[in-house]
Amino acid sequence: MSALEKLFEGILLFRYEYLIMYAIGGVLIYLAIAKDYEPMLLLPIGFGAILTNLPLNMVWVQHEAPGVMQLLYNAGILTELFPVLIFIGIGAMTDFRPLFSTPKMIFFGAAAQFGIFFTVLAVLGINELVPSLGFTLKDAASIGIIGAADGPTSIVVASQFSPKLLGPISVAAYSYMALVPIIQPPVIRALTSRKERLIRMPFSQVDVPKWVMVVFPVIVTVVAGILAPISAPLIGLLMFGNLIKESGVLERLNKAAQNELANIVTLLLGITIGTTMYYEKFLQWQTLVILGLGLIAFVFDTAGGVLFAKFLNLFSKNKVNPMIGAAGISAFPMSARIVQKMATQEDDQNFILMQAVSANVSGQLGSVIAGGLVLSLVPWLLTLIS
Amino acid sequence: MTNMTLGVQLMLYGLGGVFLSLILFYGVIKLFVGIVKKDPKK
Repeated sequence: MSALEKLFEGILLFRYEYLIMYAIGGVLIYLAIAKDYEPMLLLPIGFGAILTNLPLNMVWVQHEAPGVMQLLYNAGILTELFPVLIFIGIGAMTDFRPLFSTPKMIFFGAAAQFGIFFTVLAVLGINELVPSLGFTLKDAASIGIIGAADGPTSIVVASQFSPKLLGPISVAAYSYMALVPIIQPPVIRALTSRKERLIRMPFSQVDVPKWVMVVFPVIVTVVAGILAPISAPLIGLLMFGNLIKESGVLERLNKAAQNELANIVTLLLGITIGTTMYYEKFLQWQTLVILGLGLIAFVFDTAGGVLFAKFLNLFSKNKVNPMIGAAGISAFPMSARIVQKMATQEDDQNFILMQAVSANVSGQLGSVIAGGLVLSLVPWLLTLIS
Repeated sequence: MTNMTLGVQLMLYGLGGVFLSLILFYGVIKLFVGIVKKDPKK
């Protein structure tokens, strides 16, 4: 290479695909700033997508050694450190009290995980039709987990099963979480009658003593850890964060978990995920399919929750407003707010927010457990065919 | 066994597992609520 070529190496190595990735990164940054769609994640991801698609990709590989972003990826994503640390912050921000007033709502946290498993089947079905896509069961599970509506859980599953798909899966997960106010209402309206949307639900507050709130995260950790041991890092640290909050004696740590820890890890997580979006991996048909299937996952999560509520109403004397079922996804508190907003649109005296919040909190538990179960079940199922 | 069959099994065991876990948490919560309602002063 001549001195002149070396001097203009960046220009000589520039590819038109970089421009496409800059446009994609730009759209994510635009959505974050102008539309306020999950800006904490979409902005760093968008910038990371631009950063990694510079000639020579020095942030990823530098002089044949891992670059700074690859070091962060290896240390924080492949080891699951970043998503798991974020769970401490989420736990510290979560209040399980509404669940004690309306415990029945916990079942919607399970029903609204339907989209995960439906999407796994959809991926496998599409793969049968178009084998060139080359999705394996592990890929299908990683794509399906977008339906957990829970970014860190999606990242943990994808980084273990399909690291090559981590970029599009993360972008889909966070984008659709931001789009929950647009995705859920039409699905809810399509599956419910006006009469059902008008159902009122009495709410009586239960004063939960402090000791219950302290014991609860410990019991959840033990139960989940026994049922799905692989979910212990996720649910364990989620509950640890919650215990810090509920203990009442660790106010500094509680604030640190909610603010400093969550902010620093989110910052590093976003940009690291963004730098996995190298054009060779991202500009593929698989990415478009993943984005489409992610939407299917969210739609069928919502449908699963709503239809389960209607099913319960067949046997229950105290009818549940089926819209509550849609709040069983993990997108907290957006989903609960949407359900309350829709209820108010039909009847301005219908208050179902607390029940919706209960379902929404249950969705956080359900999504983490679903992630843990997928992580343990898929390798086991694969041993059945080998 | 095809991937599709495995997918169906994943759905059955996965959704079943999530429901089972949350049913257990429901039991725990109901137990606590029962204790709290019986003895509200504690």
